[in-house]
Amino acid sequence: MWMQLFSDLRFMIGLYFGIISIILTGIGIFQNIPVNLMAGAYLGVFSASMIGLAVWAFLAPKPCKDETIS
Amino acid sequence: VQLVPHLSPVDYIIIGIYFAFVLGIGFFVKSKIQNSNDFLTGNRTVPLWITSLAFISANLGAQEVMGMAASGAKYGIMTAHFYWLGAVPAMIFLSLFMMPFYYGSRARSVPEYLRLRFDEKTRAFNAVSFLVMTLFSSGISLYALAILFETLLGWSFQTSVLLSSGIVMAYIFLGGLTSAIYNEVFQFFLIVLGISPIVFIGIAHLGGWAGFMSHLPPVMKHTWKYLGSAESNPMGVNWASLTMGLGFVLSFGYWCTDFLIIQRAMVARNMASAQKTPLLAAIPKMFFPFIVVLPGLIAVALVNMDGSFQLPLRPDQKIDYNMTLPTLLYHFFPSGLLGLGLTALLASFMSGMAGNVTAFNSVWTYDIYEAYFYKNAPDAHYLKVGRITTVVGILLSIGAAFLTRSFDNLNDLLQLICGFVNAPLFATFFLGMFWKRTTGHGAFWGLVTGTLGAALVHGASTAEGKGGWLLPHPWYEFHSGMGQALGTAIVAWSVCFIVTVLVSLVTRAKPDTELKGLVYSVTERLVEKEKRWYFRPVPIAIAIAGVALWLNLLWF
Repeated sequence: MWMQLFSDLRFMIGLYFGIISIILTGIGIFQNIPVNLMAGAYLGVFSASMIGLAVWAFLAPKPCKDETIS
Repeated sequence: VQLVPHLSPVDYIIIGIYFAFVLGIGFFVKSKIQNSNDFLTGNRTVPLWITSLAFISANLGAQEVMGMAASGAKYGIMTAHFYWLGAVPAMIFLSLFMMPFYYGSRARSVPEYLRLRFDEKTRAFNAVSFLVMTLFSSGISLYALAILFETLLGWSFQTSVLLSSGIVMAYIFLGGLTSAIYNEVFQFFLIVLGISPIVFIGIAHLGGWAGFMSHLPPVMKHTWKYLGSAESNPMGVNWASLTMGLGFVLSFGYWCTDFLIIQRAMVARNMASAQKTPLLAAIPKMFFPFIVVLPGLIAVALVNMDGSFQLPLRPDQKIDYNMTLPTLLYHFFPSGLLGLGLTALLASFMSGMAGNVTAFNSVWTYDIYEAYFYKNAPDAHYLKVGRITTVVGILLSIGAAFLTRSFDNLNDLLQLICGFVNAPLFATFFLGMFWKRTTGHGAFWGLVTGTLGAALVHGASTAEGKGGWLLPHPWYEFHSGMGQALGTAIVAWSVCFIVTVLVSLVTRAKPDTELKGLVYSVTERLVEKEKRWYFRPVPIAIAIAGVALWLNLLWF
């Protein structure tokens, strides 16, 4: 399952921005930098939507799986 | 004002994660590469949303991202003409009229289409000029990246060149064109999400939209109003030369004939997707000025507001507009977000370079190697050649980057040559696709004389101290370098068009049977299979044209 998700570009993009979102939000909270906090939240929403689309495609029947690398 | 490198470890971590992900995508695509078609053409298996985003991302090199911010600071919102006038109409034309021939002819490259439509010498002329331009373009992009990172991060020129080109080489070597395209989509999101915060933060800093507008001179807030004469606007052009030169010759020459761009649509799964690729790409393209041009205007407004923000100066004490975007990033972005912003710039360089290298691979392997060195070899041989060409292409790009470092004016020269070659090429394609009487001799001599015509205009005129190398006293002086570029392109296109027509009329044309699928009048119209009218290319094109028109009126 994980290999199939990793081969979906949307999952990879969502994962990257998810990691960056966590880093920026962390800096925003612990160093009290509101700009990073806002950027972290904004990237977090984007990341969640990309991962959501990838998971939806994974769970859906065949046509949506067209969007995967394979 | 000087930019002093002050990156924190977290910024480096963000850059490092980016490198890991682009290599990861290359690794995942690698398992799907089994033959030369997979490697060099993507085997026409890439989904529509990916081809569409790759289509604009291949054009979204750092010269574009940083150059448009620089133009925004220099010319104002008039820079948006490069999108609303200089891209969208051409993308619509490509989709509706030209893509059916590129895709339907089953040509693997633009030069190959020229061979099918005309003859071998026209293909060879186009292939060789394209290879040279691509290589130097990639090298100059690499050079610009190294200079930028030397300034921003304190990395040495060699480190920047070797690291970034090494990573691009690795992911193309692993997954070929598909890997480059998937990475371009990743890089597209990175560029948009990494750079767009500057617009929100900058406008908020200026007191909102009204405050932002109040700090801009009137001439920077309009796209058409000051185009009555070349003297009345900073771009130094009037509406007629802009419409003909940029809106027709240069934009159609680039978007409709440049293989680097068209290759992204040619990997689509079917004709309908190939046609929709430029259309769907035009939707984000229309709104790109708000991400890449507005930062330039924000910089001007900040300078005018209270003088606390300044743009860096060049050694000759003139403003260094090219550093507009990096200066804004350093000014507004804290640690963390700064790492993301710099990663976006890095991504734009790598995206542009990968586009050049993959197009170089296909043209070299199919249009030069297979055509002139080794025909009918086993497929595994061409796959091997494609992989070797990736390495050689990157090494030659590195060589071109070092050459650019040695010759200050090499970049100017390349831009000039690109203008000389691309402008007449659109006349060749236009006649070739829509006039069945056009012959191979006509196309070839049209291209040669069009290019020479461009050189003649540039050599006999001057603008901003450039050109005029042919005569002791130039016959004409343009108001700006932009005016000279547009004038040169118009002449190149016109000469090519006229010579192609004249030579075609006195030489023998191919019979209709050989032109099926290549020329409009002898090709059967496509049967539209899409049942939902709003998903068909024509309604989508009309909607896009309407929005582009509305944007022009909004900023008139």
